[in-house]
Amino acid sequence: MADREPEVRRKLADFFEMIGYQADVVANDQDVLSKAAAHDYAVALVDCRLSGDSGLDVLAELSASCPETSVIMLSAEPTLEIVIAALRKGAFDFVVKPFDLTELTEIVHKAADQHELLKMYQVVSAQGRQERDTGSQRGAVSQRPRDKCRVGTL
Amino acid sequence: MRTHSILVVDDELLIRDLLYDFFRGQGWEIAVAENGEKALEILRSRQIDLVLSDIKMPQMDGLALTTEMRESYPDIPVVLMTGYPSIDSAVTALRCQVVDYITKPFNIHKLYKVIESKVKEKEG
Repeated sequence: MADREPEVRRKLADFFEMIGYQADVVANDQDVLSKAAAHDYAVALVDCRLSGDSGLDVLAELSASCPETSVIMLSAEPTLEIVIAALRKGAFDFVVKPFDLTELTEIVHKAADQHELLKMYQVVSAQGRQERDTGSQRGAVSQRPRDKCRVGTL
Repeated sequence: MRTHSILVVDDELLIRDLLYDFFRGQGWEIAVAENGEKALEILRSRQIDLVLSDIKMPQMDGLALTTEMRESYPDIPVVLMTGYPSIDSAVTALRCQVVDYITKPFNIHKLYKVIESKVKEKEG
């Protein structure tokens, strides 16, 4: 949870911990990236104006380095350009502040589901690769890779 | 190299004709439809690498088409274009997992670069 406003960070952390998530909070872009590198986060909530306008840069970094983490962007002053940039950089969702906590919770649940599916897909792909490798070592015909699983339905 | 295929969905004949001629000129296979329902008919009958759709259309609009496609054709990337951009429609497009959101009027050469890069990304 990355937001420069301490009050927002605290309230969101308290709320999501109350409903069963483990929540870490950070106030700047460097901390987001170092924490994300050290943990396998299912969901990241990132304010667009984290330090200056760095939220979108953080999104791009997270999309590249932690593609399984679903990133939800938050903004109190969205512009069309910001939303389009978030779309192009791979945001899972974009939520305008002040947000409805019920709606945000639903989005976070969906984002966590997507993370789960991506992890499952990774496991299945790795198993498929292993089976193919073993098969080719034995001179057997390798199996066709499984279809990519679909994620992030509305 | 395999010929790429694109489905253009727009209720404006002028845009469909312009894009048809342009993509044909680039060696692409192109299909056109005037609304989302016609687009789904085409998707059922032939292979398409990417869908380029207008948002505001009668009957089934571009957002409804994209929502339907996420269920039935999740691997086909969608680029949406609109002459009436708004934060709400851009957020909805993001939630529908479109790969880009282009505002009209567009530069056709820049649009082509976007489309070409998205098809190449899909091919991996």
